[in-house]
Amino acid sequence: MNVEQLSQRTGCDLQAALRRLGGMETLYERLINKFLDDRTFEELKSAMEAGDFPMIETKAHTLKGISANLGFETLSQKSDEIVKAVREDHKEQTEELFEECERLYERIVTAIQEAV
Amino acid sequence: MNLQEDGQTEEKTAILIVDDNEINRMILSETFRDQDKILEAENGKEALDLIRREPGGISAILLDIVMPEMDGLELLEILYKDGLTESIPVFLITADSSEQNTQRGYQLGAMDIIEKPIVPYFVKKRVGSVVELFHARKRLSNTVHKQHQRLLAQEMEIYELNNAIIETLSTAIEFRSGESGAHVKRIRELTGLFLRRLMEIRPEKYQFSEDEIEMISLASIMHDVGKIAIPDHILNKPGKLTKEEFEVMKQHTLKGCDLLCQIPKYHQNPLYQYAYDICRHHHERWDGKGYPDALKGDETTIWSQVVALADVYDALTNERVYKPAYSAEKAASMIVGGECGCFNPELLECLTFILKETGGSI
Repeated sequence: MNVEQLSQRTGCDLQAALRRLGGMETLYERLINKFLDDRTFEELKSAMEAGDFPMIETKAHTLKGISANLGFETLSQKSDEIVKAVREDHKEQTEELFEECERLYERIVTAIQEAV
Repeated sequence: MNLQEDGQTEEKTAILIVDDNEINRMILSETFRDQDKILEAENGKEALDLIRREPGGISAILLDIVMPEMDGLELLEILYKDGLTESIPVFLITADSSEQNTQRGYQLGAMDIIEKPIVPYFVKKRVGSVVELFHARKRLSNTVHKQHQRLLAQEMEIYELNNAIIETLSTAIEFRSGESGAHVKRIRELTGLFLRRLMEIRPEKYQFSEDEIEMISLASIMHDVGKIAIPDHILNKPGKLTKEEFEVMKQHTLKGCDLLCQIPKYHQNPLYQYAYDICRHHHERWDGKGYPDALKGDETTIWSQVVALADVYDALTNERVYKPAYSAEKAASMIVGGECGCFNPELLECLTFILKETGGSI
């Protein structure tokens, strides 16, 4: 897996993430692939559709964590914005933020799938 | 992290990773996999079950905060209340490091708050050093505990030895005047008996702890050590003593005190202070006509009064060169009747009561 290429395609600096993992490329690759199986985004989407704000906050928070761990800064930041929107009671903003989040998520997933 | 330095075996312990997300768990378990056993749980409740099953088998807990069923802080609170945060280091690992959560985490006994994204190398170091610290603390506390046990055992031995020495010496001294080891034991028992009875009939006036009763009883057996300084011909004269001879005999109270004063550290030890007092004053009388200080009534300490009575009672109820052994009833009626010294009415009350209870067989 070409980390440089993946970085470009996702728009995230994945080298930093790899560095954090002590340069263990095989581990990183495994984790990246695991991300494809991860259900957090789907669960966030369902929560959005159901208007379940507590669940939205929880799932967005989890998404923030795992994206950060894998180096997907853009996704992590956007998730955090959703979390804050719910907490600071700007619930109307969540719609738009989620749309942006979805775009970022899909870009990342596509990039990973192509790299495999 | 498997340390065995002082011959204590330590089972291989596990790191418990608690996070509802698989990716997060994976990163952490990869970090520690080469050194430790790994246990995983998806939420606080699962984690709690694992912990309760074998608390001694977990060397650290890596705890996410946001989880379903039971979140990290809820679990932490339970561990804190159970006192487990003292023996198992808990690390909060979270993407949400709000000040509120951080403070709460520390308040509830978390060792450290580690932020996501995780940098495995740093996490390993931070966790590692704290785990090492906990191990060292545990080893130290085990050692201290063992030493404490040893000290207690030694203390017990010294106490018993002390007891034995005092008993032996007192018996040896009494032996000269024809008394026996049994006499010494009886005085000790009687003293204890009277003290307890006093507490029962006059609790507002007399209060002794178990330790004090033991100590006073032990001290009581030394009441006649002064007799060692009294010449044989007076000590063991079968007939009545002359006035001069009696004056010499009376000296055994003061001589006893002299002897006890010779003991180093005498002044610090409550046992010897009781013994001194009893030695000196076990021949005082309630009406002030006793010796050596002619103390009257309550001027004499109650324990010296008790030993005085015990001594007289024992003398009456056992055979002597000049008299046979009297029965308990006869001895009691002679004492109460004022024929053998003058005593505190409260003590006489005790005597009557004890006789009634034991049916005359003290």
